[in-house]
Amino acid sequence: MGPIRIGVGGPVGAGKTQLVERITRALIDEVSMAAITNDIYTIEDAKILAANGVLPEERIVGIETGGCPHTAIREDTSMNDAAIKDLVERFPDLELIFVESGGDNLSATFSPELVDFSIYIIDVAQGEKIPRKAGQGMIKSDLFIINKTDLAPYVGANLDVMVEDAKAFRKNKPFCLTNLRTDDGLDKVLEWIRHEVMMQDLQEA
Amino acid sequence: MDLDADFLLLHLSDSALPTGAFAHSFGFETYMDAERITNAEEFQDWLKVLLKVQLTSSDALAMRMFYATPTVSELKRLDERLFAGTPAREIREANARMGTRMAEIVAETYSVPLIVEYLELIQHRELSGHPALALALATHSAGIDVDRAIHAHLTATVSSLIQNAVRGIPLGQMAGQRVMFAMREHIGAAVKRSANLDEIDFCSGDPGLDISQMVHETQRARLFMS
Repeated sequence: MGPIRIGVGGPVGAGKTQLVERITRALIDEVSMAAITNDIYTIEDAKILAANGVLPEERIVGIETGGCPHTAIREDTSMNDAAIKDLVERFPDLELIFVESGGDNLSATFSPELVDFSIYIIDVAQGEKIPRKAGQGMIKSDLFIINKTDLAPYVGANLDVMVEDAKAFRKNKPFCLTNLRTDDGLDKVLEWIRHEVMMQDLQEA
Repeated sequence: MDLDADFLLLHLSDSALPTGAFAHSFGFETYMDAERITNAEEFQDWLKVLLKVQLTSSDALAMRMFYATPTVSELKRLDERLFAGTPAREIREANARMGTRMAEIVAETYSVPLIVEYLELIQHRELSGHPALALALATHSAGIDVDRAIHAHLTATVSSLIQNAVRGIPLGQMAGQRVMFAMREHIGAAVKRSANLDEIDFCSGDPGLDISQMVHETQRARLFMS
């Protein structure tokens, strides 16, 4: 059994890279991790993650997606699969790999052959109505995150409405509200990773 | 008419086969960046050269040589020669990744002699993998004529590069289809030409293409991995 793979999807600027950066910073002492970033035009996300984050550069792989961010994580995951294989070979102790998708529209979902779990992240400033649009990324993901909650009053977004819409579409599946600039709400994300993804409570028992 | 053989050929030479081809420009993005390729005509000029030189002397000739000697030792030799005969790192990696994926798809779906062995040699890093060879193993075992197999491989490669150009340059959809049709005679000519090549021609290249494929490594804004 190889490392657990978590896909991170969401629109441009929602906070995908920052989410991976904050999670890896929080877990660096307990979990062996790596990250793959899919960028549409560059490997800027990989560079940002390497410059700002705690993951060593050799544990971060940047992939250009040929203009098809959703194709690279869904219909044809060959280049991401190759990157995962390569990481596992170089770091046999890996426990967790984040596969960050390129910023894309609301329909981005991950191939079940590529990842074991997926997170979809949006931000408040993109509009209160985003959860109501029933994007498949939001509905199908295992964890849904509404980020930049601090901006709600400035953009006229009602968080209660976003929460109700998210519940309506996702039924009982979990979601979190975060402000990743202050790590507000990050504890809920970490709890989800520890319990639902890594099942640490079971390992200890 | 052997419909099963036809099916295999149509299936494995579909340009939408999930081998990751959509992420590779094989160097035309360098010309895009230099504003040397900005429209369908300029793209077609590049594609003709790629087909006539690189794809004919490497992919097509490798398939033909495997058909002539369909053994493991020849497979190994051809795989190694293809790797060594490709000067640009990104193209070697593109072929290796797409070739591995093609071998995985063939091994998963068809019962083809040598494919499991080929895949294991790739996984053990003894060989690098090449899509033309993985396809040749499958078409040869299905009894498909070598000219048809090469024709299918070149057509699929050209088609996926055109789709990438439609997205990358971008070109209109119809402009892409016109390029596709215009390539028909060139693909046919490449198949014929490969029949007259010898070992000495194997992987003979064009310095301009090779250099552009190397320059791509340091390009800043990139849509493609090669």
